[in-house]
Amino acid sequence: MKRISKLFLTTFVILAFSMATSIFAQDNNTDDEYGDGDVYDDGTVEEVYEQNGAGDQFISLKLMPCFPLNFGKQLYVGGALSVGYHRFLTKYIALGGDFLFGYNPTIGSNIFTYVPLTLAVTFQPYIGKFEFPIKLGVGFAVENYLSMNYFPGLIIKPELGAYYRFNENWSFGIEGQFMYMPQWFVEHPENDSYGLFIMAALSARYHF
Amino acid sequence: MKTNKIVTLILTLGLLVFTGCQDPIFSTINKEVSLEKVTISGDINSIVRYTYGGVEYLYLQNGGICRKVASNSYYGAWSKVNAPSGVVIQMAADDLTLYALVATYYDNLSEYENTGSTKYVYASTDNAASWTCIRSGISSGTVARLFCTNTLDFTNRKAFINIGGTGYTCSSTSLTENSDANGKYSCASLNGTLKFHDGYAAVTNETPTTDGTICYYSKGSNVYYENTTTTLGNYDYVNGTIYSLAYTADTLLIGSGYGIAHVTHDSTGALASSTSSFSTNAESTLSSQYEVNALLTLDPSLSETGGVHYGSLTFSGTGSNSAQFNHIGLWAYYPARGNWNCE
Repeated sequence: MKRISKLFLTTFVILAFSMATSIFAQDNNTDDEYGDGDVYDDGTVEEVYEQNGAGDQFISLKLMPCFPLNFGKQLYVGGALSVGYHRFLTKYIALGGDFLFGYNPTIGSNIFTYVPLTLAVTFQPYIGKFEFPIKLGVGFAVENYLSMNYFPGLIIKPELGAYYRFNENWSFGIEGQFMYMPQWFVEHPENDSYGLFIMAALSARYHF
Repeated sequence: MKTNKIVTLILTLGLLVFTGCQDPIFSTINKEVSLEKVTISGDINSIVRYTYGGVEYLYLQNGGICRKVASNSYYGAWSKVNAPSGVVIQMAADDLTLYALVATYYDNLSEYENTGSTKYVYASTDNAASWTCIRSGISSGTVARLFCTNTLDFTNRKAFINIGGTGYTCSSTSLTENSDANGKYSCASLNGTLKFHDGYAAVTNETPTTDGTICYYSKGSNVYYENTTTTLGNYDYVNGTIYSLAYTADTLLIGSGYGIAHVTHDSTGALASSTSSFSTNAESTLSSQYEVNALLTLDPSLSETGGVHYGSLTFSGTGSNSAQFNHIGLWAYYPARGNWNCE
């Protein structure tokens, strides 16, 4: 599983980098209107208003059902609430963090809860007023069940979303999140296990 | 400045790692089972053996009184039987008689609550068909605890009651003062030798075919074990006060204010120095959210996973945790089912 995680991370980074390169490349080529490698400014080029730029920030609020993927009938569908803060370094790349509270009922009428805190890098291309964040969050979680705790637990959380920029300050959209939550035990490796969860979020973002 | 930030970050990460706790949550969840419908709910403080007409019965109280034929080791075999009026809070049995400690309450309109009024001791010699009051007028403020040896050999069964620190031996018609039981809360019989203790639980390694040679008993959160003359050892196994003990061929089950635990023992009966994880779903059912007030193993000659066990749950402490009302009551482990579940 550790190997799969590494593979997944590597793939995600390569994918994000190649998409960024391609979009930046397209963006640069649009200024070369004669195709000769030079860019001419005759004073008629309009200033383009970008939806996001370096220094822009946003706060996100997400509400989502949480589907356990690898517990069979042992865990039921639960829910989660997430709050995040992110700041753009460029018009495409943002850094920030997310706080999430989630729960899933168990087959034995108990509750599994988890509070992950993740640092995330977001690559967000856009088309018109539609924004498509691709995000990777890594952090730790406090996990609780009955009187048992697992802390700090590793969390890896890739996300994909689609938003409509309603106005300068607000965007609304949907997100799919995948969460990998391993539990490792050095002295009792027979208890090693991991949780895989997928979430579908309704989200609102306030930009400032 | 940058160095300071790095040091702070490293210290924070170190603190996170070294203050962490790693309990096996996912592997415990994977042992959970779907719960049966609860048929025996309420606070259960006693599960006692009683022999009548050559048939071995199990009795328990949950406000009323329930009974099953001991050999009916399956879900749904308990039935409610005749009980004295009031709330039955404890039970005991000797070789001939069943005993019930009953509390009465009145509506305290000034406090809007039920307030304890008086406690009574009742006895029945006809398998709970009728009950006779053998002691009345125990005030609600007086501590009273009814307990018995609960041996497999019914001829060694004795019942006692501690009323305000004074010990009594119970009989079908009266209570007789017994100074050995003064201030005591539990008793075991090592083949007829009575061992009184001031902890809440005591049990022996008696089996259907062998006499008991070792008595295990609780004192606070400690388990002690002794033979007829000498204390052999003691360990502090659990966080909460121990309320119940049950012996199996390979383990000692420990019921406390912090759920169920178990510890292995060797062929001489000597206990291991620490508890171990359950292979069953015991930790997710009789969990640390609850008090395990009563435990009983039907046949102690069988292993823990090969025998039938009963355990009762009630709320622990202030009830500020996520304990659930519908889990309060009787639970059972049947080897044919292979897991703990509601009764």
